[in-house]
Amino acid sequence: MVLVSCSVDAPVKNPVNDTPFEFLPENWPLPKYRFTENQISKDRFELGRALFYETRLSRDNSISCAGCHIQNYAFAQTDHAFSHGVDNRVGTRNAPGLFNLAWHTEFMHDGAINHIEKQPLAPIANPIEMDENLTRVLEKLNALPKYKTLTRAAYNSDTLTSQRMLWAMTQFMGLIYAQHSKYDAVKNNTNGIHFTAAEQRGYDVFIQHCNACHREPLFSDFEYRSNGLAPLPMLLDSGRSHVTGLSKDKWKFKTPSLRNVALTYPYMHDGRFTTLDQCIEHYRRGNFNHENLDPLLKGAITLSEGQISDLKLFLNTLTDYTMIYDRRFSDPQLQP
Amino acid sequence: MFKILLPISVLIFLSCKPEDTKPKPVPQPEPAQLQFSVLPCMGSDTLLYNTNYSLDQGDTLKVSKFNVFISNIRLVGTNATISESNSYHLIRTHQPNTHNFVWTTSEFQTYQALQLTIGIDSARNCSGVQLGDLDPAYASDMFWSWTTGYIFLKLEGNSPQSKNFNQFVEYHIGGFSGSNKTQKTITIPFNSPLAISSGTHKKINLKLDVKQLFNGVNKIKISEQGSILSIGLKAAQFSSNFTQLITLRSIQ
Repeated sequence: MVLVSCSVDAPVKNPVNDTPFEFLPENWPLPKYRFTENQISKDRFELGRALFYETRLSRDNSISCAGCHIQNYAFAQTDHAFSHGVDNRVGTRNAPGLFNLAWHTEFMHDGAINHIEKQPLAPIANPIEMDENLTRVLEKLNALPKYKTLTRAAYNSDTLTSQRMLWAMTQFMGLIYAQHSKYDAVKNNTNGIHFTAAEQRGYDVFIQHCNACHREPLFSDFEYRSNGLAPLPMLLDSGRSHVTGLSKDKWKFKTPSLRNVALTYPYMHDGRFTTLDQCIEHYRRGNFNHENLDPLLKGAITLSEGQISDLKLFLNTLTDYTMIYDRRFSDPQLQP
Repeated sequence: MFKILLPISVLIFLSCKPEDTKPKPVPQPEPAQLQFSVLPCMGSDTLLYNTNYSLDQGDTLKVSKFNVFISNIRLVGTNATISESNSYHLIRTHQPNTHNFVWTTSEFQTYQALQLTIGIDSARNCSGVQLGDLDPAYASDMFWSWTTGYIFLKLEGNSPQSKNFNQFVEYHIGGFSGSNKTQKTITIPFNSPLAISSGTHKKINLKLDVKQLFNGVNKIKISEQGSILSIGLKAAQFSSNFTQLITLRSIQ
């Protein structure tokens, strides 16, 4: 018997309309997580969706993923520098938006988690977030008829296990794509949509000054860098070095994507800036903390007031209104 | 437009018609069973919890928890090396049912040594949610949730030499890559070659000796290092003592 197979990875399907990843815009790299073992199905996606909105993941059944990752704000939490966990405990880092996660290989601001399937374990166990353990979560969920039904549909078995739970959550989280912004429409020459003159000027500023780290089309290079923020004395959050133990990684954080940036305020890993103006001003002022400062930031970035205005208009074209209003990603209990 | 090649499989069957001879009954080989049995010890004594033991450097240690992952078990022969599939075993010393496991093999050879890893290979630390002993629910006390990676060895107890709160002793050892790597592969030669053939049943008795954690390349003084709770240099130094942690007691 001779087996000759020329296959690469099979096409990945979108859960709802079976659209394969082939609809990806041009110039997008392949996703890093390919759902190869964790095969996409609508039922698994729906189980993951229920789990994302499930408060029983927390010790006192008060907090779900969606508590700090709210769809209207691109699955970030606005107006909170730090989100709060059980017993009104307050976190130490700003909740990032959740989208295009299949393109990430490491998660959290410091990259502490190296696999999307394991990511939910961190907030579930963290005492200042959900403060719960996985075994108890599974016990609680397995006791509910709702999860028997969902698990049976997804896995042809009544029992929710850790792998089944985390695979399903990965399907939900990993299939939230931010790729329908005006920027994408312009790039794809959709229906003759163009940047305005100001947006185009802002785009040129972006390419010149921002794109080296916030790289198109995902608007992050997923590297760890210090952008010169002085550490807050109360936190002294060392960032990446917390994970690697290396002093060269002190104060470094993963470059955040600028997609949906107009929605995800406050900004920076510690949420210290409320507006995009403050963020841009940080780079323009150039009063940087120099330990491990990124080499690309050796001096202040010179920008005129007009350029800042244009840049903000461009950044607003990165908002994906399709994603934030997509009912497939909303709380299933709130469906009409 | 991004393209994906469709799988193209070409199957060619070559069929050979057997000669028309009377079939002779051939005895089917029976898989060999290797039963591993791990005995937790403190030096020459069987390990008991909440019992004071004197370590060789003069420290006193009372153990309240001792868990360790052993993995990637192999038999090394002159002609072949065989590996147990999905070979990940979490030994919880307070749970006797975790001290024993059986490896069934039909690789009939003679082997000169046993090889195993204390800890878990980098690949499994970097992959998605695992099953069995690596299930994050089952191994919840051996899994760091705030960062990724398994705790390979967890030793907890008390010692009058400890400078920690309540004289706690806590070693949570992990870290799987680069200079932080703590998994150690050790080779244990057999006194005489182990012949495995059809139907062989062997019991491989191993000793898991807590004392060796303090007595290896790096002498550990509880007064100087009563706790290690994260990856890094200290954990890596501690792991160099893994090499004598498991030894062979006997093969029956």
